[in-house]
Amino acid sequence: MDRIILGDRGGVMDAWVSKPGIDVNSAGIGQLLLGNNRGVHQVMASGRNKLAGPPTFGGPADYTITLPAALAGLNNLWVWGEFYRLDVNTNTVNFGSQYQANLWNDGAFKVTSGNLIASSFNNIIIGSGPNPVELWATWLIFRELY
Amino acid sequence: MAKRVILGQLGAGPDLVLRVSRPGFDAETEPAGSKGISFDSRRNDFGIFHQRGVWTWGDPTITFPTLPFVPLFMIQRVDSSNRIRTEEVIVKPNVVGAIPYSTTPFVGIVTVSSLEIRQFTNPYYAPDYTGFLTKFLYTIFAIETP
Repeated sequence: MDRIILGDRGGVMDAWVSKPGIDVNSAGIGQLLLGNNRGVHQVMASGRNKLAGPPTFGGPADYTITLPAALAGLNNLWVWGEFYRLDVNTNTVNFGSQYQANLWNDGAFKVTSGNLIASSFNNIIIGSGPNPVELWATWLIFRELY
Repeated sequence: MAKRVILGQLGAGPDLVLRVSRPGFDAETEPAGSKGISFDSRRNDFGIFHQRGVWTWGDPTITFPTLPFVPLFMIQRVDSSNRIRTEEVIVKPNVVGAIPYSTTPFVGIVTVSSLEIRQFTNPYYAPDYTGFLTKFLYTIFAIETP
């Protein structure tokens, strides 16, 4: 069974790859891994950054993360990201719950002038000297603008 | 130098494959599941999207060419400052007005050919999200939900 076409299929030039068990010559909608000139979530940059702490972090703040030079000057790229709390003594990660507003998991991301702005909406002091914590963000930036 | 692209037979297997590695990783020798592999035609699903776009509150229900399955999808709200809210949370008083509850104010309902983004409805919450009625980024993946 043919799985891969590099070139023309039905008058459309592309890299065509069908899902396992599907003939690439006849693969229809939803049966392709590549091809039909549809996009993929190609990651342009990704990272994991400590934003605040230890031992504590507190009120709402915007944190600026410098992106690779290839993204210089770009705005409003598509971002997936999460904020999380690192408990230093136990080296454990706490993502919180999506049902907890105004805590460390609550925030937003925006690409402005080639920088990633991570806006934390946490509004209470988290952590202490004996129980230090850090605020982190993990993120992916995709090719598309919005 | 590491081999970055394999198009053809891989190992002793009879099938032809397309396998691509990330920079610094060998497409021929990296094990299955390695983060050094960016594409492998032997896997069932890939981050290819079927349709994506920006949907503004009040627009008609999103439609897309009919898939042979109910797809995986993702929605992210863009707030009034053009920031992407990755985990939407809101605190609202319950109908009695005594105890605050947190809720996720928006949900997506997907079929084989449509995606409806609407407010979460729950008798315990007052459905008053006027300031949240902005726009959403959405992605319909060519991936079947389990």
